[in-house]
Amino acid sequence: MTNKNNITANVILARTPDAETEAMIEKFVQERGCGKVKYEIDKSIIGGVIIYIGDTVFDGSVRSRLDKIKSDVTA
Amino acid sequence: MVDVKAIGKTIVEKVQSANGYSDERTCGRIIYSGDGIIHISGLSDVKYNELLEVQGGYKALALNLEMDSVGAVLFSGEDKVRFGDLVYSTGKTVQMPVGEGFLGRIVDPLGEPIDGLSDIEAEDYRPVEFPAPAIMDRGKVNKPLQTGILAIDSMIPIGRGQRELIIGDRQTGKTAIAIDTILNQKGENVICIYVSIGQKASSLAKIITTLRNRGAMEYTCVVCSTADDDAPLQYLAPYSGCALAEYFMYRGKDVLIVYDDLSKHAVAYRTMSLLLKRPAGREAYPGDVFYLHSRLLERAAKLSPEKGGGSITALPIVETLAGDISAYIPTNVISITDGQIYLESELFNSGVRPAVNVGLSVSRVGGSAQRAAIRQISGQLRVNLAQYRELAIFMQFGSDLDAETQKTLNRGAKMTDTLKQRQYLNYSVREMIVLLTVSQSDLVDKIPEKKMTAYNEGLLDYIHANHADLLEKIDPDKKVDEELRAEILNVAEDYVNCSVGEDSHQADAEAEAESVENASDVK
Repeated sequence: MTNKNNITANVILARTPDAETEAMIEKFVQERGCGKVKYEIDKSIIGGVIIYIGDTVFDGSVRSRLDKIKSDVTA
Repeated sequence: MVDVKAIGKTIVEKVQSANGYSDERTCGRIIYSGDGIIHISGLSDVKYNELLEVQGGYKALALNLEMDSVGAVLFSGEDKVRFGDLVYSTGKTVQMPVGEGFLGRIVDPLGEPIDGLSDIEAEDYRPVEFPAPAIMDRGKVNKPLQTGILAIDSMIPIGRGQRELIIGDRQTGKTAIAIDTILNQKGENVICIYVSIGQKASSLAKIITTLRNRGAMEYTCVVCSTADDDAPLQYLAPYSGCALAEYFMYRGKDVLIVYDDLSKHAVAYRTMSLLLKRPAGREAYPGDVFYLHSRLLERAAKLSPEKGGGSITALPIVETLAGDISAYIPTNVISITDGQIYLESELFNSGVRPAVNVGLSVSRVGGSAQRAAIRQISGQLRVNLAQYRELAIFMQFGSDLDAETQKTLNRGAKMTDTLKQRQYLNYSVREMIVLLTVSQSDLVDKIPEKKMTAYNEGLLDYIHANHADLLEKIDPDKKVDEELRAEILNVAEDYVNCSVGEDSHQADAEAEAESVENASDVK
């Protein structure tokens, strides 16, 4: 857990990233001390990105935003 | 009317604020799931008792933090979660929504309404696990909590802020006492919370109907977990109920909370502990089963006037098996509470209802909160009844009795009959004073045997109809002086004189019928 350099960051996107997005993601991941990046495509997140680094998840997907709005409005 | 514009505005606001929203959370994955227990790998920063969120929106409670996994219990979705599902930490412990809106409602242990009515607006959220009031914040128990049951209010008085255990076998009227007490709080400015733990849904439905029909739901909230709920929900129920009670207590209100019953709560906790592979102790309960109940019951307290003077009176119920009060859970809870009301099936079956065993029932703090008049006239009650019971055992040998003994026996039998009381028939303090005064006077010798209970009810009706001013005259906070006593006895004598005549005719007729029957038996 402590040595994050050996950890692969799992990145989930709704569609294949362009070079610019890829660069942004790699910068973000490296700032958090992660060496490698593994991409995965999952259409169900609709848009945005989810990044897993070890135990931590950065969820910026459209799906989770919509879920949050849904739970805020219905509650 | 629903304000469509306002709703639209809220949605737009929410959508705008969600823009650019990114959520950084800790997560883990399910590596084991079974019997409502999940093990999670990851979740390195989770805390004990933290609420977890499983993919799909299910909630779980982290209970075991281990080297490389976290053990948690699911509140729902036991059959829906799958291996590899994500579990997020929330950074919060389990919270119970609280507020005035909960009165009159039926909710589950997570605060969700289950009575099919509208949503409940939470005024606040309180953690279900909360430290008990500190020593310096506590005040003296000085106000009585009237149960309306003569046997209890006279001999085992309960004060506001006290914890009084109701213990007995199944079918001895434990719940009946608790429900009667809730019903008696009408107009007393006491908020009631009835927590059902692992009860049959049918009995719970009956209880709720009773509370509703008798107008007690206005000031009552029912927190329920039934027998088919998962163990974690049953485990949570009393703590949720207590969180709701605390909300009112810290606002200076008096609250009565009934835990029905803690033996099922212990069983639910045992289920969870064994499945979590915690070591089993006596009767297979885990080592911390004492702490389970002590931390719950310590939260019932009377606050000092500086802290608002609110109180939580707890009436935990424990079911025994074959009258064994030395089993593990009963002894635990007896030692935690400030006294117990012990109910016996033998008494119940012989018609003594409520089936309170006066010898084994005690109240350790309620006495100081008793109203002066009641304390004065019930002082000798316990001793007299004890004497009667001792003699009654002798009488079974059928020896000849002298007049004095016979008198004690008669008086004792009539006193016992006076303490019999129908369910839902609660006495007010003034009515109790009348009954106790009459039943300890020479007047009882005039009343035929086995008619005492009926006489008492009749007497109260008579007084309400013809001598309402007499009840007004009684001041429960003052001792009953000779003058008042004489007046009460005068009225009672009038009633006894006019009804004994009627009764003796009836009794003669009955006796005649009986003798005819006996005669035919002989043939």
